[in-house]
Amino acid sequence: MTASIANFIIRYAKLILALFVIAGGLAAWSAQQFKIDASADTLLIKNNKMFVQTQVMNERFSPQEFILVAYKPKDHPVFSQQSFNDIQQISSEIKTLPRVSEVTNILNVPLLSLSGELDPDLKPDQLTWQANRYSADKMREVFTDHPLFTDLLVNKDQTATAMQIVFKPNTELRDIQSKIIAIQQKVLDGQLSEQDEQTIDKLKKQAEPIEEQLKKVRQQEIKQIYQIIEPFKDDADLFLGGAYVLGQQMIDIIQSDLLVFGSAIGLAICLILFVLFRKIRWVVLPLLCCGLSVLLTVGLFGLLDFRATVISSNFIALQLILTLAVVVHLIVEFRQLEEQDKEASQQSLLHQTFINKFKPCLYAGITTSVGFASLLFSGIQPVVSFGWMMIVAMGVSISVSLLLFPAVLASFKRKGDSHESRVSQYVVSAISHFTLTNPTLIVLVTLVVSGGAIFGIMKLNVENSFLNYFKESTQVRTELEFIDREFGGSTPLDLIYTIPENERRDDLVLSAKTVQTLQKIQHVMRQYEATGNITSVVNFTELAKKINKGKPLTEYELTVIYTLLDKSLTEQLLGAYFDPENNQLRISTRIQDSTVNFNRAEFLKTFRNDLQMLDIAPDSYSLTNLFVLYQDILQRLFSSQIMTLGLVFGALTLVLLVIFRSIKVAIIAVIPNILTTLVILGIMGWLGIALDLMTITISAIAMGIAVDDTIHFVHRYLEELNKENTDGSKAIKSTFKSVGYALIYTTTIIAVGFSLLSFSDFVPSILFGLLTCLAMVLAFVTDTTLLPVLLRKFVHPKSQKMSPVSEKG
Amino acid sequence: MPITPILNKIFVSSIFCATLFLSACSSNTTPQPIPKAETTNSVGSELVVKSSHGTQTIEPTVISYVAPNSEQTTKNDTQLAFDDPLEFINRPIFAFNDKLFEYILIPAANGYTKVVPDPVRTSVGHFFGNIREPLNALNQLFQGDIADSGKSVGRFLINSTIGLLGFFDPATAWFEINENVSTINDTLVNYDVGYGSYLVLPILGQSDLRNGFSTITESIFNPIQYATENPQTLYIQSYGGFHAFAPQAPTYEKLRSETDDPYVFFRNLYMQSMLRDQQFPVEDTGNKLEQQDTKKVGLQQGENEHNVDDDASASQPE
Repeated sequence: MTASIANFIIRYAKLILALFVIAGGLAAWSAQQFKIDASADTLLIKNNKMFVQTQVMNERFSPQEFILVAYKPKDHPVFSQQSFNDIQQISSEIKTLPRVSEVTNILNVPLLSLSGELDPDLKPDQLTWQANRYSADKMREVFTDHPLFTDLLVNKDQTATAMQIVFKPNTELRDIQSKIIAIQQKVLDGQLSEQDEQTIDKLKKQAEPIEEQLKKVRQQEIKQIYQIIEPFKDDADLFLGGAYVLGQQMIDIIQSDLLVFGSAIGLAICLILFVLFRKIRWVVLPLLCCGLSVLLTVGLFGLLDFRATVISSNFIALQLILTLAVVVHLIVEFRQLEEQDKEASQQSLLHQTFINKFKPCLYAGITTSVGFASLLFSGIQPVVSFGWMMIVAMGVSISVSLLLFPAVLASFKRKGDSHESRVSQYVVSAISHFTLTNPTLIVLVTLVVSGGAIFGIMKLNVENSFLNYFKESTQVRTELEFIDREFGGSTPLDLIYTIPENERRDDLVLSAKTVQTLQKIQHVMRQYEATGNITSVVNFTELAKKINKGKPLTEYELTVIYTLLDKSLTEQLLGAYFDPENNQLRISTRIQDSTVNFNRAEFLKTFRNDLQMLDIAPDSYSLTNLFVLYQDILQRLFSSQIMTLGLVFGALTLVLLVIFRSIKVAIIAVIPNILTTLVILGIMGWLGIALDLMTITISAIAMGIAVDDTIHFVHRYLEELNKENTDGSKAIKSTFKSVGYALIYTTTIIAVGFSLLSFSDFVPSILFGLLTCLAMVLAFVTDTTLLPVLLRKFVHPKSQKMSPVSEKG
Repeated sequence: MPITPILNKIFVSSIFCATLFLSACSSNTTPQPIPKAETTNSVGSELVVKSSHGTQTIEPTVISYVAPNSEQTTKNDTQLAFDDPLEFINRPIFAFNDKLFEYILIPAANGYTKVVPDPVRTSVGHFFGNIREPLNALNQLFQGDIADSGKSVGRFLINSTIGLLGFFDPATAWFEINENVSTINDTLVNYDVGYGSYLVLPILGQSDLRNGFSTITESIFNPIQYATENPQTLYIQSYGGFHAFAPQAPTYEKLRSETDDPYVFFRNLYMQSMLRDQQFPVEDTGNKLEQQDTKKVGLQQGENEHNVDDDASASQPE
């Protein structure tokens, strides 16, 4: 059957090429539909409770979207006329941006502590620098240990001040979102109906173009702000910070990385292909296959509306690797046939190549797909969609390579003969010799290494510090870190405290007990190393106490002030922290991403324990916002890794069993894959590289790479065994002489290509590059040492009759 | 102003009643020393925080003193911080005051603040403030605060002369000597005299036995008594009270409208503030409680010597 397919392809080569051109064109068109969605909600299981809760709380307390601009004067103090002038000028220029609602700075913020008494007829606008032109000394005094503004508008050392650019919300988007939230809220105490889901989907579709638009506007705004602050940089350092800037910087750097390193890797691959094969066609053909595979896949995703998330965005790299591997195997086979039979025509060579390689390539593709298919059972949305994407990508890659390779070559004439270079010949025979002579050593080393890997895996943990995504030496990192450290942290974390029934009082706005509980929580929170700025109702009572000459307020006085203050003023001051309707209070903090050796999971655990020590019932508070969300996602991904890996290996063994029709071979073949994956994870554990959103897919990638090598090797070995007058050692040797080259070439090409990523400024890229490179090398090493040793030991030629030994890897 | 005569009559009679009432009560309760337990804050003057950081204490920013008939007491029998033994008489007086405020004083006060321009009212305020400077001085003297006492005398001399009978306050504006009100109540507090019990004075509103005594006595010994004759003295004094009350009229109205039991609300408001002031005296910098608060919460002692501006007064129609 294989032969007739081969005949068909060779005969209708032109037709196939024409079809590919059309398909490519169509794919290029539909690829425009393809979207990468990096937002947090793509990472969640549908209707994740924590996410819904965060949304609900965000709506209830409606914290505003903002960017911080830090102003750090070089030669003059922060509290000086020059700074005031600069700040005023920068602020007023930024204020002209259409979406900016206000720019809060030390000059226009109401300095309530100067009011001298707790006066219900508070006119905050009259207590600003702008209204009164307080002296620099007075300003310094006011901002020293201010309950509200220290760490927010002025850092503790008073070396810099920040302007908070607050943006107007998009009302249309907000309306749609509150509709969505209103429906999603049902998840918190039940299930969504089919109809609810549909409504949500419809609403999301409505929101999409607005969000898209907003993203572009934000990008533009950040550029404009950079332009505005530029002229002031002679006298002061100016930094931008805040979650949005961080996100934007990340997108910028990823985009430039894609361009720079994408082309660098492409170039490196071309170069190595040329060095190895010394013919233009062996450079063009693999690139053609890779390019077309990716294009068709992306086009297909566009058509099917599959979206790449942070997790699945690696699929392109992965697909490149796998396509390249298939093509290199085909090339090596073709060249070897060419060398063996100097007379054969191009067509018959192609025919033979196809017959020899069709099965292993198809098997490799199927096995890898099945491996990824097991991700579908992980139950985590982004992982599931990654699984789907890889299945599609593998299908495309295999068909493109198997069809395109013979079809393209059929149109060429046979051109001279070729042989592998001396260096590679030497390397291959050295490895094969080493493997055949040192089986015990190899098994021993394997055992030691796997033991070490398992220990390493124990040390593995998850951390996601966005700040650490940027290389330490970069400007971006310095700026973001400054804001993170000096102006209250980066990743938001909220504690929502629901006032217990017995503390609610009809005649009081808040009872003293409640405020004191909050004060205790906040006191505990302040002492964590990693918490930045913390704000809640407590800060206002602290301010009130300060104004009241250090005397605490009574709960009735608090009520009186709250009742007498203008409603819009209380909303403006306390709206983000107190929701009387739902009897809920919010303590808002930002976690400092730059905290050294910060263990996020540990932190949350300690925090929860501390809350318990404060006698706060677990059901009376909830932790929300990005910090817990990301932590939750990572934790889930991490624990799902173990389960997913188990599934993957189970599925792999089954497929191998079907392909090779022998339990023994299947088990032997799966061992190198397990080993590669474990060692990669183990090395990460030993080196203290935490799994984060970017590196969490590394085990899947390692497995995908290893399986390819394994199948080609095992398949060839079994074929060699079927030949007459052969034994294990001979079969190993000839396997090395054929597949060995392909393995070594693929490994070299990909390892060298991806190691280029280590020059990136983006840490996840560096890690991804190096770990992929490492996975490649490890797969090569295990598949050329352990695998042959096991095969020779346990898999014998059929004619010799296997001895019924109990076999176990 | 057509209401003034009515007001005067009410004022005269009420003071009369109050004095009688006070003297009747004080015969059996006034000099009673306060048991220590009474002053302890029910929630404790400091919060104990147990966490992974160890056990620490912080000073609360908002405190409470358990009042009778509150939900807190019914649920768990916490010790009461104060009692209201005179409720039987306080409630009717409060009801009377309430109606008085609602129908007469508040409309009058609203009219007053609308008609009389701000600068005039400020000057009137200065005038009444100045007139009681000798009282401040005396009280400060009795409290052993010679320096403050001297300042009050100085202020009186400056403002009465350069300040044109006290209608202006050059002492603060030019000489930077700030006003420092000190009452007989403060003096009594200084001598550890207990507050006795909660008391609602007719017209004057929330008070306690000690403070009520102080108010009445001061009105008798007010320097105005020596400068003018009755009934002018009474008119002037009534006007002073009314003037002080006027800007707070809307406040009273608003708070009154938001509570189910205004009697309890205003009583608790008054009593908690009073007990708090007793527990956290401002001037005594050597006080133990004050020392503890400085470290963590980052609060400092009031920088200037400005007297406690009793924020609760905002809601006490006095």
